[in-house]
Amino acid sequence: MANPMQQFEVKTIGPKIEIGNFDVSFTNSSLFMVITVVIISMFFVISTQKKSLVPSRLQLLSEMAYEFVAKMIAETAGSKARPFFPFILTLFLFILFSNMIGMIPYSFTTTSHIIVTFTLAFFIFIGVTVIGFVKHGLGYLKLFVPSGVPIVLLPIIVVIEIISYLSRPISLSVRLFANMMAGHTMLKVFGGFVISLGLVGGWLPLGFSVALTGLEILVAFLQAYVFAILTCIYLNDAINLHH
Amino acid sequence: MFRSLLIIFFSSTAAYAAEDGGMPQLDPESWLPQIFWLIITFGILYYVILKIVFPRLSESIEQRNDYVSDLIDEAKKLSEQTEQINKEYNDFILKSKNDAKEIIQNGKNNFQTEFDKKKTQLNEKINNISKKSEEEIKIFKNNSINQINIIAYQVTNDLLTELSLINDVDKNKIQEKIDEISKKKIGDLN
Repeated sequence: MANPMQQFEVKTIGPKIEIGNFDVSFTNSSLFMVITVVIISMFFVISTQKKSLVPSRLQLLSEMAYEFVAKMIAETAGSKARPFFPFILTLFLFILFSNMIGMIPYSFTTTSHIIVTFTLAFFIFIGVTVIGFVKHGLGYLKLFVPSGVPIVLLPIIVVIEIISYLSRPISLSVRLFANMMAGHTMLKVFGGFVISLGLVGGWLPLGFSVALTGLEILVAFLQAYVFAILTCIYLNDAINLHH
Repeated sequence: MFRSLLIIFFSSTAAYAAEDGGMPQLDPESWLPQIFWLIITFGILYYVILKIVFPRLSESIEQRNDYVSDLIDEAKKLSEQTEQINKEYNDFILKSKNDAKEIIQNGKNNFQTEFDKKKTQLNEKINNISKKSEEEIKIFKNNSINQINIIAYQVTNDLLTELSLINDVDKNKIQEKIDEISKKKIGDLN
């Protein structure tokens, strides 16, 4: 049976590129990031070209995506988070399309790599922290002191709050990466069963494969949504600060 | 510096990744290119969305919302106008009904007065005519009695003359007798 982890291998495409001492070669991962960005850009630029009053099908799709994200931000972070809308939209679309493109056989899922999801999550973590301190100054530290907690418990609670705040980028990135990796590994394993059991016993794992593919498409959407909505919630803490 | 730190930190995982069946995700060799290309591609996408997609979408959605809210406002205004007109119409109908009732009532009243007036006039006329007739009858009756008396006297006179008895009878007595008979007869008639 083929190694189910093989699909996650990063291979350099073309010549090795180095900036200074750093290796920044173009890889299959980079290729799929580029494909994701090109598809999203093309879809949205083309679909929004004609701003008709009664939208065409493509325009309707792009407007649905826009309103989906707009509603998500408005419900979790309120109207003050409006300036961050393009970023959240980019984040949601990037993860969603990466996950969905990853569902195509023989493609590469960029979000199944911890370093990709961690970079995104870490960037959000830093950004949210900076926004929090810029908006509230040192008052942002009140985030770690929940109101209504007995003074005796306060030292413990504050430590727990700080740890949970610092673990945000890790939980955010691991959730997405682990989901994508687990799903793709499972699909590969069941695919392997189909081949090894052959015509006689291969039908059962084949059925599972089909069902799992449906599930994985759901997970692909759900994880993009969760990532975006958690970002909104963190943003809400930074902007509105009520704990 | 950064890279060497990473390599030292994750050397154990890197060793694990190198084995068959390990996780390629934990191979630090592949991290830097991924971070680099992620920043570039994500940056480009963010720029495209910020500068092109977001303004276009928000504009078209806002335009549509404006248009829809304009239509709603207009619909509200028209509905208010309709209500106003409807109210005026109902008021007009009610007023017309009342007017019609009043006109009918007035007509009835006028007719009654006119009828009563005409009735009285006619009654008066009838009374007058009957009074006049009665008087005329009375006069005629009186006249007739006189005429009859005269004729009776004349006839009696002529009769007596024919029979050559006139000189035996006092003329005044004849007159008296005729008057007496006539009075008696008329008294019987009356």
